[in-house]
Amino acid sequence: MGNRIPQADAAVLAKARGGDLEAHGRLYEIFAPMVYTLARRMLASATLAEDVLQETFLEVIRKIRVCRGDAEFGPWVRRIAVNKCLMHLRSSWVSRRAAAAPEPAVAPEEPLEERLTLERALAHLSDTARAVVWLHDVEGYTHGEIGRLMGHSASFSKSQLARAHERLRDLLEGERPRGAFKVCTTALKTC
Amino acid sequence: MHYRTEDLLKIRDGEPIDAALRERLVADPDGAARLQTLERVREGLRALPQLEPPPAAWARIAAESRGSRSARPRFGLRIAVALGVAAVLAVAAVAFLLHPADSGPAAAGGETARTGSPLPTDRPRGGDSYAALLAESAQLERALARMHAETRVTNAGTAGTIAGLEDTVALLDEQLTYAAAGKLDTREREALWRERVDVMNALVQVRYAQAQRPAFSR
Repeated sequence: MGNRIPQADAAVLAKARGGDLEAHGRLYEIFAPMVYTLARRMLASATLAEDVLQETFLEVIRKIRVCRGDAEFGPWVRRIAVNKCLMHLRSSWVSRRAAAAPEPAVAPEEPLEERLTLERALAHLSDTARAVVWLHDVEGYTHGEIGRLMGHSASFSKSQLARAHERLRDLLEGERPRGAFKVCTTALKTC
Repeated sequence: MHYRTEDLLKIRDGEPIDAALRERLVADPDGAARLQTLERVREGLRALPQLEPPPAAWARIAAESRGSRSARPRFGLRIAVALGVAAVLAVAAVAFLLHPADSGPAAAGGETARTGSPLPTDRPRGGDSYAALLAESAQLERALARMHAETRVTNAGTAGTIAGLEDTVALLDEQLTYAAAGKLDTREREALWRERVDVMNALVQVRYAQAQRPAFSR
C-alpha cells in the first residue's frame, strides 16, 4: 500500500557506514525506487525527480554514519527526499526549469486508460496541493507534520488537502464519459 | 445538501468531527457518495505503481560521491552544525553592517522585525535541562513558522543554506525518535536536543537576516 518504505539489511548498513562503496550501491538499489517515486509524484517532473534522487543519495552517503538506528534508516532516507522535494518547490527557480507541461509518470503494466486519468489529474494539481495530497494520502504524514515541513499550520495542510481533492474530482469527472479532459497546465495557469 | 470537503475528509481519515454532522453526512446519499469517491481516490493514489529510477542515475551519484569524498575531509555532525552556525552568524553580521539601524537582534530589542514578526532575541537560557531545551525548541519552531508565513526565500544561496540546516534538523529529529524509543541514554538525548536548539536558532537567524531587505529611496 502506498509508497512502501523498504528495510535494509543490518549487515549492508554496517558496511555502508564503514564507507563500503558496494554497500552504498546496494542501499541505492533498495531505496531508489521509493525516493524516485516520491519525487516524481510530488514534483511531476522527471528532471526534478532525478535531481532529488541524486541530492538525496549524496546526502545519505555523506551522513550515513550519523544515522545509528537500522529501523530508522528508511524513514530517514524518505525524510531527506521529502525535504529535497519541498526545497525544490520553494525555490523560485523551479518555475523556470519546470516550465514545460507536467509529465505524468506512466508505468507500463497497468491498464492504460485508468492509469493515465488519475496520474494525469495528480500531475495537473498545483505544486502545493499535489505535495500535500501525496504526503498525506500516500506517504501517511499527518497534517501537523505537513504543516511543519511546509512552514505552515496543520489547518493549512487540511485546507490544501480539501482543495486538492475538489480539484481532482473536477479533473476526473471532466474525463468521463467521452474522455474530454479539462486542460490544466501550469503554463496556462488554469489550475 | 452541501458538505464541506474538509468534513468529509475528517470522516474518511478517522479524525474528530461533530457526531451529529457525521451522522447526517453518512446518512445522506450525496454525502455518502462523495465520501466513497474520496476513499476511492485515496486508494487509487496508493495503488499507483512504484517507478524505476533512470538506469544511469547511480553511476552519476557514485562518481560524484567519490569525487567529493576525495576532495573534502569528513566532518562529524557536531562540526557541521558549528560551521553552519558560524556561516549564519556571518550572514547576520553582514546584514547588520548593511543596515545597522534596524538589523540584528540587539537593534530589534524585542520590537518586531521588518516582517512584523517578533524575533526570539533573548533565548531563554534557563539552563540546559531537558525541559528548558524542549521549551526553547518549541519557541524557535513558533518563530520559524511565523517567518515562513511572512517571508519568501528568493536567493538560491540562502535557500541552500536553509535547506542544509533543515536537513540537519530532520536528521536530529530521526535520532530523537530513536531516543524516544529508549535506545539512547538521558545524556545523549539532551545532547541531541541541545544540538537541535542550536540549529533551529541558526535557521531563525538566517530567516531573520534574509527578511532584512534594503529600502530603496526614489
